[in-house]
Amino acid sequence: MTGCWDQDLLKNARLIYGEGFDLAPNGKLLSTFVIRDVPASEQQSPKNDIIFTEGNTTREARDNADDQISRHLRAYKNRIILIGEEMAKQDLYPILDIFYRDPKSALNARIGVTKGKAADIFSLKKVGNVLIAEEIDELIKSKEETTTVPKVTAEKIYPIMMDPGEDFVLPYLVEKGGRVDVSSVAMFHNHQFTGILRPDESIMYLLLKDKKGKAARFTRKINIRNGHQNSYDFLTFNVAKSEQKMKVLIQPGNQVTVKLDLKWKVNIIEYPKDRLNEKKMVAQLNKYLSKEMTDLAKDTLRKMQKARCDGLGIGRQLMAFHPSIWKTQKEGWDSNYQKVHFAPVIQVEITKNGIIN
Amino acid sequence: MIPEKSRISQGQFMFIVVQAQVGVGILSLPNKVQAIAKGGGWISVLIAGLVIQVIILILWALCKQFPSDTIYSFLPKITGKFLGNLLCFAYIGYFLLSGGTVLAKFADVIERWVLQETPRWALLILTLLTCMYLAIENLRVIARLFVISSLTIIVMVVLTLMGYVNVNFSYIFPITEAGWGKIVKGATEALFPLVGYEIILVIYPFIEGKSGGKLKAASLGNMMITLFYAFEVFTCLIIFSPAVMPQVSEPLLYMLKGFSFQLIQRIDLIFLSVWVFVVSTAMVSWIYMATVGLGRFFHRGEHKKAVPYAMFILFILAMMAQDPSISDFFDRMLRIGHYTFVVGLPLILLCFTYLIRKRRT
Repeated sequence: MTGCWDQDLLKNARLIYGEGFDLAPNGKLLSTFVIRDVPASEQQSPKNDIIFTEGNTTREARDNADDQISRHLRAYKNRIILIGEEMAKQDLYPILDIFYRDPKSALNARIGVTKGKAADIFSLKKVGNVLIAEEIDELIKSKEETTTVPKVTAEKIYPIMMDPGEDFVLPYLVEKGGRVDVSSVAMFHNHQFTGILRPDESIMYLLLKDKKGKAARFTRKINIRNGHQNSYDFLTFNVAKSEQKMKVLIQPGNQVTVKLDLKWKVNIIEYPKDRLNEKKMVAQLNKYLSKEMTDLAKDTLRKMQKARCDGLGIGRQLMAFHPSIWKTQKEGWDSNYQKVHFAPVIQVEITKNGIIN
Repeated sequence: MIPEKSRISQGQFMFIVVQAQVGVGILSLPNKVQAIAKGGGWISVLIAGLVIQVIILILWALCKQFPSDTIYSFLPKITGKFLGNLLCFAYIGYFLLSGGTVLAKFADVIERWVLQETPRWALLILTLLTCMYLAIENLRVIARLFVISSLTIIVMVVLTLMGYVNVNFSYIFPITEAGWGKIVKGATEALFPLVGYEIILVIYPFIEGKSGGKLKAASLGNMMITLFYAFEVFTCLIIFSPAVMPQVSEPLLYMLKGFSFQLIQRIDLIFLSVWVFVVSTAMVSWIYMATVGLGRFFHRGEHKKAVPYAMFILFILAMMAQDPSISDFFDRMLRIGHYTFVVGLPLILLCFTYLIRKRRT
């Protein structure tokens, strides 16, 4: 009986698989829709249709797109939301409001920021043989497993976006010669895009946040003086296990200090200069990598502070465990956050080295 | 005096209390207690559970004085015939209004989350017809269904557990941010979603066994529900940051919306379908409470004859509550009604009966 009013047949729907938002030159919202056409017969492969429309709001842009296509535009299968760089520098929330408000929207859609325009990436239509929305979705998913980008969906950033004491990061997509590259992350402060973390830094950030995926790889140039020869070699290792301890301390003068202790158990996966059977050598490498990684952590945190991105939720920690300090720091947390003193220490321990020494 | 087919065991009674208590309130409770008690909202729920335990004790002590009477037959015995019958009608009115509000809130949620285009009357009629099917049966049949439908609470807990992949415990700290005063105030807010235990007033004589066992069953049911509610509130508090909570009116559903499995994309809809079951049992218990009274007055104790027009009253009430100002008015009425009919009056009556007994001996 309820079907009489609320039926919404799939055959009458045009499904949005990807939605992109850019800032149009006239200040309006330029939306890109990737619409999936399911073929009538099974022999044909599914095809994408790309539509660009302008509107003042997300909903208006969607309605304008609906005017241009047959049947009804439906967003409940949306898999990816991309936001162009220029748009992301504005406020992110107004674009996403409809996703949060509409009970039928797909809140589990992945979300990312693109270098240049989101429209340009969707305009690729296909990467290799894979349709663009699927490609981006799968790509980001695989990058989540390598700890390159955080696992974020529209839903997950909602509580963080609204919380004054924490910021989020999103995958940063770059178009490179007809392909999409996801290796960096875009940092946000409140609702605005404020900077980028390079590939290594983004992995480091996620490890500092204790959000390791299945793997986390670093390649480092090893420069250890060994006897009479200089060996310049590269070493690639995978962080197999990472133990993270974060402590927010208040030091005299209300100086907020964050102690980050990380203990890594790493596997060496590539090291052509094969010397790992010597204990002394391993110890030397441990020490060297620990220092390298601690430096990387410091750089990463400095960059985040510069972008005012409180990705580790220091404000939240203050709010929760040092409410009196938070009261004094709340006003202008943006600038106060930049004064927070971070003291990361990373201890690397090589535990495995593959099937050769 | 009580027919064999209406008797229920103490275990069944416990599940009746459980089902009568779980209702529409659970979806919005986290939002409401957070607004007052902040991160300590889950403590508010536990406090509310304790308060209800005390109320149950009062109700039980009162019912114990009249082991073979429902509230409708012992009220005239205490206060005299005229006043007693008047009070009985007040109770019937309170039960009907509670049922109507539950129905209205249920329709609100369904309209907002699932069936946006469906007219309200269609939803209400469908729900009421299903409830009627159960409400016209005798108590034993109702009790059996309540026992089975209690399994759905386990399903709800399991679905909620999925939220734990994405939590941040620091959201509840500092727990006493709002202060203990506010946490206690939050408990009064949590009291209302937990109503329904009043059913003890009506079904007490139908339960087999000694009075101590009956109290134990009611308390156990109440404890289970309090813990269940506290768990749900706690989960919501660690999933939504304090700034988001005021914006999400049904946090419990909202947190499930983002999850999806290979096979099922919208877990919130699964949760809602389970919840529909639980709400309709709560509705049946209100209808039962009211119709037992109506049946006693107009149909020589046959409650099922009163069910159809009780349904009609519920329908009218739920249609009226479409207007937010009227539904607010109903809410306020219910609050007052709850304090007078479930806390105040029973307490006065209890003192009264003790005094009468004392004078006699």
